[in-house]
Amino acid sequence: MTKLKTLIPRILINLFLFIMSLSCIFPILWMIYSSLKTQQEFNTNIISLPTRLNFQNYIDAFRIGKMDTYFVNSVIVTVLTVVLTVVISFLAAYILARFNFPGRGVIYFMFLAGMLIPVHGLLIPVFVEFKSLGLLDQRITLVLPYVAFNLSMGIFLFENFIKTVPLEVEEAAAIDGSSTTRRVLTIVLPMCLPVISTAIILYFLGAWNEFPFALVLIKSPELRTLPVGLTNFNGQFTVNYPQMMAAMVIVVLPVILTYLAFYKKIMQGMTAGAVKG
Amino acid sequence: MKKGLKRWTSMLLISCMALVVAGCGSSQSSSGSGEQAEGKKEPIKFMHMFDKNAEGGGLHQAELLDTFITENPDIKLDQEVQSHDNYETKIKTLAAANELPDVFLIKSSMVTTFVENGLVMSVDELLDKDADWKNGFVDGALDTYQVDGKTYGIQFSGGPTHAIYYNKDLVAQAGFNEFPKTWDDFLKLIDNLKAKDITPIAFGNKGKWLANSSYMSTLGDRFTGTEWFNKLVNNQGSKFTDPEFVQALTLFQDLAKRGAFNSDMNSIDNNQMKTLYYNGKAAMFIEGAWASNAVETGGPKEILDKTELAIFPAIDGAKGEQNGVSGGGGWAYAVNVNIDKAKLDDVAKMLKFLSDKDAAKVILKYGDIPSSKVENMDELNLSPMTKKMVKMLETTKYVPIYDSRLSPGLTESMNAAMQDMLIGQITPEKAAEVMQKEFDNEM
Amino acid sequence: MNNTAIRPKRWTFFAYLIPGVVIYAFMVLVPLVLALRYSFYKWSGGPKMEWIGLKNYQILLQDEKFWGAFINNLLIVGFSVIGQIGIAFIIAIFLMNKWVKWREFHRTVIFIPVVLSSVVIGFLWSMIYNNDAGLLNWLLTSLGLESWIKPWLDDPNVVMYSVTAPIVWQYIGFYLIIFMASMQSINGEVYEMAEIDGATGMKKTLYITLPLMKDTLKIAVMLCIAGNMKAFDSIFVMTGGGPGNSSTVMAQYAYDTSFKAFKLGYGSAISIGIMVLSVGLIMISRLIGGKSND
Repeated sequence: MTKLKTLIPRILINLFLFIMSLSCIFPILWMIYSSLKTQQEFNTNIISLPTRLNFQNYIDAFRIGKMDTYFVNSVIVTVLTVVLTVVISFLAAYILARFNFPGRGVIYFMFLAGMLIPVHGLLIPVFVEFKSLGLLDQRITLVLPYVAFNLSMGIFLFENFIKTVPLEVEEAAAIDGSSTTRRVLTIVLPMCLPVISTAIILYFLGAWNEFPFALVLIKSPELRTLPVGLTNFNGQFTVNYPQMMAAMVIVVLPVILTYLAFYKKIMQGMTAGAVKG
Repeated sequence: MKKGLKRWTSMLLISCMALVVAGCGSSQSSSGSGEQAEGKKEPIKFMHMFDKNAEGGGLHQAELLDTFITENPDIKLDQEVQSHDNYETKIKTLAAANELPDVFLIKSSMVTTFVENGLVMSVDELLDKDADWKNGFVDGALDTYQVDGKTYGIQFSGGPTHAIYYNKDLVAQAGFNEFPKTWDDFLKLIDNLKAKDITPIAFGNKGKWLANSSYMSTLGDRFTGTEWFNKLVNNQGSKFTDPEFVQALTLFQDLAKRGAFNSDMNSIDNNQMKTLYYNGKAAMFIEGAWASNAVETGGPKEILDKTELAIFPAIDGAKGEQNGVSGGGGWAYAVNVNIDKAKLDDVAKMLKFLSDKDAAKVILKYGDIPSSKVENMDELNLSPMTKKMVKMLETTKYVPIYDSRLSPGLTESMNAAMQDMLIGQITPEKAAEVMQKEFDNEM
Repeated sequence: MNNTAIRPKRWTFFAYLIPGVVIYAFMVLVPLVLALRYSFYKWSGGPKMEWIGLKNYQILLQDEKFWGAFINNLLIVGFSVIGQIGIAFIIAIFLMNKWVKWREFHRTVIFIPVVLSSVVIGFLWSMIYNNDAGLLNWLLTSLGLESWIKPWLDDPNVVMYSVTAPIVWQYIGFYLIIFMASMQSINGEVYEMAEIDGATGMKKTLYITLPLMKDTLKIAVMLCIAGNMKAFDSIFVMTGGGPGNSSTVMAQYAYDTSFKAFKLGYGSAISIGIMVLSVGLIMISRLIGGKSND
């Protein structure tokens, strides 16, 4: 009896989790197999499997959409953004977490407020500013706003996490004559690895998927990134959905792969952090 | 440390302020004429939305542009190509920052705003130099780009925004071997189709513009006549709340109430609605001339063969002209007011190449309706749909497209009010009031 | 918090802090000041700007469309706080149990929607809600629940719930990761001691996990409010704000005003309004949740 009483909820919970996971993975599968259909096949039935494999959409995506160029651009911008944001936000968060100084509250609040800004409202001001600084349409152009807008989330996460790193260890090291930078690198940083992995994924997503700034600030096709390239598949009055899906797969797959690669690290980092903490 | 921080904070603040001021100052003065390099020509900066590899409208412009570039190696172009939706966002940002390229596209509804802000130059001086080009345009093709008698846009194509694409087999099954000639018969057709469980009209109004562009502009004019519209835009007494216009709204709402449309009309777009039509689940759809190319390239062969064209039948007791279809507006080329005058000859050459009567043949070949007259049309090898479209237009007359003539702000609120009205949230009277209120606000 | 023992040299202090502050000031604060400036003008693009003082804000206060959009945002925030954080918390607790099968798989897969861009999400869900070919209606039909079928995105009374569901669904994985990280850092001994004292399932969750995760939960609520007050992309893709204005959110209203209706001054005023309301809402949530420890 008691066995049954625990067994039924367990089965239900397993079922629930299974459905949840299924709902999360199905869209990707749908996107992938739909990208292998012809437009007419897709128009007739959007759910059915393709009758035969048709890679034309991918060939077109690379040929028409210049997805290869955009891909390289996206990678460069994203990597630069992630590296710079991690370094800058981690260092700033360390100061904000560890020390009280006049203006600390203002600066902290200022960073947090960044999370509340609807980016579309800043498109024109940012454009005007970049124009007067001569920063439009360059390799570095997109990295600057991406770093800045990611800082808020980064500082917020890091500040909260660093506060949980016990102060005593650091104090002991300081008494032994270890410099600030040394302490940050050898004590604080290793303990923050799980949150850094999380932050890396979030920064990666932010930069990789960002659209409005990429549209407005970049002019040359040689510097365009994937999300803007994706909209090439959207005509004024027509959309070739399967072709667009192929392009979306090209955009989404690297993110999923990166995520899967980092996921292991996050989990390892988490357990490592838990043991130490 | 305290002192240092304070000084540093204030310095930061000051530099921010300085930058703000500098930003404003330069945005007003920096866009003078281009550098005057001797002997070497500066490229013409040209932003448009014509990608030869993409699908959809404007392929003819991409082809023409390609030809122009090969034929004129001495003219350098610095092109920026954006897809349609992105183009609108981008052009408005560029306009706001006073950073427009030399040549770009505007819609007739944008003309007034751009002229008021002193962003575009009159193209009359280009057209006047070339009578052949100027007189080659279809009568009235450039009218919608005029402000105070000066022309600001050069249109290349501008077909009707209203046409009924119908499946003649399904219409025949519903008892009509020919498309209905009167509104009553049209309603009967709708009822018969419904009785057979066929969606009468596939309608995808997610973008909100379709109801305005392809339905209301035509319906409204049938009731009010074009004179009413001219008085409206010149603020000479016409009102949205006039009984004729409200009648038109009521007729439109009645179509929805009668079940003429699919129930998800506000959540599918004009592409998805064609899927209903392609599957044979819907007997008609209503859209502009551009859709004929979409049906030819995207639709199944058996549906394409059955597709015929019509316009809204005559409405009893309505006082406008009953062969009117909305049309003639749309995108046109405009020239930056600050363009380096040395570039103007090349710009004129290019725009002529993209829009004159030779260009018209290419445009027609793609199934679009050119703005310049076409000579010897019979000699051209046109697709069946294009032939049907041209034939249909022989007996019709263009009337204004609301959303390409009225201000963007007014269009926005018209579109939203009509969506509300079509799902029965508000009455036609209320919808008219909403529109009038926005209109009064802007005047 | 003045830790004299580990206080850095002055130049280290500035070297750590300044890069962040400077880049943030130039990329976020300066544009914000510019936007604030624009909001005092009547401006339709181009060099002609007319100073109208606070008039835009006066209009904003009486703008029914704006407040309607604000209500829509509140609805999304409400459902997200309950849905995203609630479901993520429950799943996190389930996944701590050894008898759950495929834990690694679930953990990995539930995060995937977070990875997708909102545009893709919106596109996907409009297919799910599609009347004729949509998954949802197909599912209802096969379960014999035809009467439940609705025009999901076309009924103004339903549409807000329909567009909120994907938003909730998309970010469950995000909070799941945060919660699991936080739960794993709770010392295992605490649980062992509790088990010796006879605490089981529910009790463990209520009396140990929940209090220990209070700070994490507060952070989650704040992130949730911040994110959803500026929700835009997926709704824009699904309904474009329609039918009428019934699913228009504040950010879309600002976008439409600036980029479609060309009222750049008023559009800026709306953006500023969104920020002010977001700050206000977060303040309120902090008051309700109790003062934080810093």
